[in-house]
Amino acid sequence: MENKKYSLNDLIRIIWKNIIVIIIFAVVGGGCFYMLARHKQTITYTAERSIMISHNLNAKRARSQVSADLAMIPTYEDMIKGRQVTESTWKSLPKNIRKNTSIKLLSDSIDTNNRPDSLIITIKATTKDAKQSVAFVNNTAMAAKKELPKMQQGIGEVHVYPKATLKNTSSEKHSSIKKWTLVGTALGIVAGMLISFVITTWKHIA
Amino acid sequence: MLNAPVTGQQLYLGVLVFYLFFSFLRNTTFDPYLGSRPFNLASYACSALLILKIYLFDRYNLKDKLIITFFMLIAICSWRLSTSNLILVMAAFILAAKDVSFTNIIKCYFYTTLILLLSVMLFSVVGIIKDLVFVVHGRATRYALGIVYPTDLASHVLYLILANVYLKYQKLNWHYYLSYLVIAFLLKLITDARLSIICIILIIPTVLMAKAAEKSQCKIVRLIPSLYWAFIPFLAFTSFAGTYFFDNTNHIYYKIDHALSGRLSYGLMSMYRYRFTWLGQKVEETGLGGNKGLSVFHHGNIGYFYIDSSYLRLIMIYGIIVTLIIVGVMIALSIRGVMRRDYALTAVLFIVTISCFVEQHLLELSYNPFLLALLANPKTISEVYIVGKQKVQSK
Repeated sequence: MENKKYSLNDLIRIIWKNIIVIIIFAVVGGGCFYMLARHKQTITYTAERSIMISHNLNAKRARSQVSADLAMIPTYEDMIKGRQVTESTWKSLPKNIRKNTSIKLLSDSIDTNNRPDSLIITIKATTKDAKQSVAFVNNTAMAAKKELPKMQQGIGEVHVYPKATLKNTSSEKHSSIKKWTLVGTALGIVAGMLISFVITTWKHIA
Repeated sequence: MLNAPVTGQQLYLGVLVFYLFFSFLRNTTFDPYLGSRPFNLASYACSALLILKIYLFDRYNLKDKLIITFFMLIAICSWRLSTSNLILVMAAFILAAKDVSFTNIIKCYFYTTLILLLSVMLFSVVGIIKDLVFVVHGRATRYALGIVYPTDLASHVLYLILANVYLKYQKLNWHYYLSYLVIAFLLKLITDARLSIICIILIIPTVLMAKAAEKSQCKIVRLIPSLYWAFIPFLAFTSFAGTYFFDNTNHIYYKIDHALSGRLSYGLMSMYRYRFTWLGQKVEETGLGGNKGLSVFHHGNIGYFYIDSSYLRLIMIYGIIVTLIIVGVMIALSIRGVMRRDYALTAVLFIVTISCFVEQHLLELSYNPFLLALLANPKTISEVYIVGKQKVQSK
């Protein structure tokens, strides 16, 4: 405008005002997204229990028996994750555990692990509740001990390791708080720019 | 007249034409014959002459001289760290433009670049230099006509039209608009460069709104062109944040990236490979332009890595301080145009802002001469001449 004259101090004041508005929006945006991300963050608990499936090593054909057992491990793992063991586990679970979950969640939470050349299968249960994980993994191991010999003849002895307890579960945080806070801050800056620039233009430039 | 001493303006414009010649040929298929050496030597010679002009020809008081020296030093630091002399040359041209008529600068730019572009096209059509042709399945065949890459050819045309808009701003009428549209159509057939064509078409509403605002007393009509400046920080930040948060698994993001020919993913790659610096760093890039680029292109883009967005280039290559300064310069130019009720530069800068969102030509003088307006004299040469004469007479 021809009649508006701005001194350097005026300019600096206007620029500062814009920066402050943008910063306020950035903080608000970042804060909102931080709260949202925190609200959304989940912790999962993983309980583990191992089983070993083997034959008597005193037998004559012990060496070939061990090889056969090793070769069977992946099949055993699939059997543990299969429907028969899952259903048996579900039946054996106490009522208070069954109330809050479903057979599908049980099936999804179970995973197995095995190191090469080892006869030990580690069963893992991962859920959002530590008690649930412990119950799932303990009952699955017991169900496996019961069901596997029924499913495959001559399977050998299923040795079940000590029970998983609440103390030896591991927990993991699933969240991207930092990322979402940054996204919120960026969106806040964008919104702040839009608003403060339009206001500044309206008041001082147009 | 021949005995008259060389003025600062003559020196400046002479250096400008000299530099434009070399920097233009650098982006053509003449480059293999010339190599980068003449271009680099020309850059340093030009910078030295311009610095000479600042200290010998321009009359600044001590405070201004110190400020100019400070900004020159920042440019020198960024040049040494990034090993890209574009920033040095651009800074020298911006800071040495005192008392040079900006209209003359644009005239020099327009005619030099136009003649060079036409002759390069002619040379390539005749077959003296290579005409690189890029064929992508599902897209039209793209000709570069002697320039290193089809989109660069389109950008040259875009910036020439912008210079024309600036020079003829008062006279612009539907004849001009129609011819811009015809050029856009031809460009679409030859290069199939989407962005530049969109920008050329966008010139028309941009200028019409600016012209409406110039005459209108209504504040709402004036608000739109007055807001052109806000796009500069807005788009600069958006190109940075949009790349930083790019997530290939997000459906919408994936589509945007695809529409931008994978520019977001390459931008994110640059952020993985390099960190953010204050004053710049060397970024190794392999583009698709030129003979070397064509061979990359023919081998399934393996090894291709290029930062396209000018704003992202500023941040990754020249550093955060230089980015803030250049964005600040653009904002200042745009707002100054509105305050002086001289919307020509504001309108032109708006198109430059959008073009730079996707393309890399912000600091390349052979494309974008509009940053030189910062210290240049906004009056035309005849006015300067008359004012000068009056001063002489009054003495």
